Amino acid sequence: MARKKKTDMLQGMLDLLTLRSLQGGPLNGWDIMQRIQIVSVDVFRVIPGSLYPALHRLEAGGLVKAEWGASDNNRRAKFYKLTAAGKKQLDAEWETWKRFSGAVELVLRDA
Amino acid sequence: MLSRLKRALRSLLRRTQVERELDEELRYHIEQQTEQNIRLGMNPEEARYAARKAFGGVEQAKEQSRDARGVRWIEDLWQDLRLCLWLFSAPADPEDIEMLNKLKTRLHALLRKSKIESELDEELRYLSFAKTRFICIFSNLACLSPNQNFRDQNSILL
Repeated sequence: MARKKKTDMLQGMLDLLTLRSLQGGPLNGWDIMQRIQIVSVDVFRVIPGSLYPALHRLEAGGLVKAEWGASDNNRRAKFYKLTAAGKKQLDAEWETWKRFSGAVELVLRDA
Repeated sequence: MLSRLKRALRSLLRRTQVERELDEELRYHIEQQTEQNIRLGMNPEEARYAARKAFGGVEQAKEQSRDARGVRWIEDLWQDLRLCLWLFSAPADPEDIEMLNKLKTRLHALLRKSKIESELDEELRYLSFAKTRFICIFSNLACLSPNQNFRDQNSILL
């Protein structure tokens, strides 16, 4: 069986996928990492060493808000949720991504 | 804007707590990864090691997270100011002064040695240059000389 190749994510894409993961509700860093890996069928490898600085940058930019709460296994964890500015940013970045990926697809198919 | 300012002020004024929370957050992640590794069949020590490795640089992530707060320069400035104040206000300790004097003497000795070495290097370079010039001149003279024996008698030209 061919082994799936995991791909390191670019910074901009990590921000986009993080914001999208938080659209369904508050999550902690571990859950965000798991969700991205599961939803991408293990294609994207989120490096925690990159994820946490990204989360703190998004927090400092007012795109997410952090609160401490209890995790599934009843332990204290830091949960992030989207702010109104974060939702707006997600919509804008998603639009940009659609245009970008569509353009790449067009070039790959017809050039 | 107001919430950003609030966060920045919190980072500055409650720095210890912010740092503790950062530690706790990253530790939580590593513990979750460790537990998952154990469930996958690793022994606890191996699982912990693998979790830390998979994290990809805990200290680096902490540094980047501190930078992400956007108040790093104020924190650094504050630290520098505190250090300056401490340096000017701290009473002179005789042991510190003695240690500084020893360091000063050692530094002088090192500088002197370095100067002597550089002068020696300069001398050697000059000697080497002079020797080369001498050989060239002598060699030209020997070539111009009709007496081939002169050349044969001088091993330096061989």
